[in-house]
Amino acid sequence: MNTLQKTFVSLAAVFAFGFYAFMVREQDTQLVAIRPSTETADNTQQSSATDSNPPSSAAFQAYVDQINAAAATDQVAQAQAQQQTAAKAQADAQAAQQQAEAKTQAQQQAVQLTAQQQAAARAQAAQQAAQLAAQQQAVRTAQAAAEAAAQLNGQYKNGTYTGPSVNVFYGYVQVLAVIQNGQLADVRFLQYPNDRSTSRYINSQAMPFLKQEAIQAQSANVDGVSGASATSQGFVQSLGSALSQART
Amino acid sequence: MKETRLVMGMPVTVEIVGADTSARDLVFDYFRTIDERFSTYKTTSEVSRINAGTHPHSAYSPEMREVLALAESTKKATSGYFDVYTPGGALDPSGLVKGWAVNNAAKLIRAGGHEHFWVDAGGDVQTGGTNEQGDEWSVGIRNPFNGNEIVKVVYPRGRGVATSGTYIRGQHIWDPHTKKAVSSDMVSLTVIGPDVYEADRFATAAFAMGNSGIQFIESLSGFEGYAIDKNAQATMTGGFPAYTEKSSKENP
Repeated sequence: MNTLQKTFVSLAAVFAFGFYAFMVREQDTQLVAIRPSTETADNTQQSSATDSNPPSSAAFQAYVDQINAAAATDQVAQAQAQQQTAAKAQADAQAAQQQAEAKTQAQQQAVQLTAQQQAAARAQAAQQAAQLAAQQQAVRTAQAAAEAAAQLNGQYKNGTYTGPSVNVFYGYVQVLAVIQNGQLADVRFLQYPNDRSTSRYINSQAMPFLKQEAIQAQSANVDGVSGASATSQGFVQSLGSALSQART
Repeated sequence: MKETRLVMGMPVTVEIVGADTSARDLVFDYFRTIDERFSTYKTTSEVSRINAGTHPHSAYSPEMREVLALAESTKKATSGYFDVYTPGGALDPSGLVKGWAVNNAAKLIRAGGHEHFWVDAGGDVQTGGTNEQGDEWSVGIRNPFNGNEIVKVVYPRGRGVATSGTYIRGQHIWDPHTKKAVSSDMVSLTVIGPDVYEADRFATAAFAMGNSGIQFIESLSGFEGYAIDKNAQATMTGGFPAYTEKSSKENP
């Protein structure tokens, strides 16, 4: 029964009982009128009882109370059921959320791990390649400088000479020239634009019209080459200065 | 015949097709005078005297005034990323002088009536016409991880080519705005511009912008770029691939 139905039944009951009570009361009055002598003492009591709380009204009240109690019980049950449903839904939602969170976290961790591993592997490979290239370049430049120095005929004084720290814009290059038997015996790097750790790995946010590719060595013959050479220039400058000190 | 000499602390190469050696010598002489004036290493250079405070502004040479004016306009054109003043406040116009000098050398050659030539200083290249074989001049982009290799061939067709960069990965570059080092993944940036002066100054500025430098080049009309990052990945502008193919009109 829903609330509307209960209300209707209650009202119907009230109406029915009201009519019944009215009828009974009429009969009682008649009875009292017919038999006044026999029930005087009782009648006083009864009258007072009838005035304050008529028996018919008590029955009606009991019925209404019963109905109300039933409705209240029903409401409580309904509310409880609602509460239970809500609690279950909440629990379900929480469980789903927890599950989703756990899944997202796991996915994120997996993605992060993969990206970190890949970036680390790439960075390591590039670092090794760059270090090797830098070493090769330094060796080649040193050899070239040594050869150039040897051609200068100038006799150097034995000793070690420190070149100036040359700013190659991206770092500093400084060399130490070692002269033995009047010749350049060794060149040591005191400063070199070293591989300081880059804390950030920045993905270039390429615009749609930018294109990307992995670089690949070409075998074609060309008329000339364009490329950066800042470091080797700094090397030559620093060494040149160290050698000029050795001559004076 | 091609000839390479060490001037300004870098190899300078000159080839003038069909000309005798005297034309080439004139070009090398020009580079030497530029070095005497703008070298930051020679204590007698005008730049060094300015930095030493012994050369008043009123005594500046016309070339110095021109270079400083160009530096100022370049600083504006690059939102301040091109700055001839070091974080310490010293004047160092090398980032501009090289391309400017190569461009002036090309003008010298053309003024002498020579149409087919190659001039480059430290990898900043200006060509004119065609090479000795009548082919389009070709410029290789050096592999930043192996100086003996090239990773791309471009045909500049009279435009200038310049590369900014370093052989070392993860270099710190100066942001002229903050005067602080910023990290960059870029190790090499090659720019093709209307002439070598334009290519050089914008390559220098874009390299100082770090990873977004190539986008800056893309935003400039008349410029194309090829950036190589520390992971050997290249990013090129949309119009760059057109310069990697020989034009079909060749060898008619």
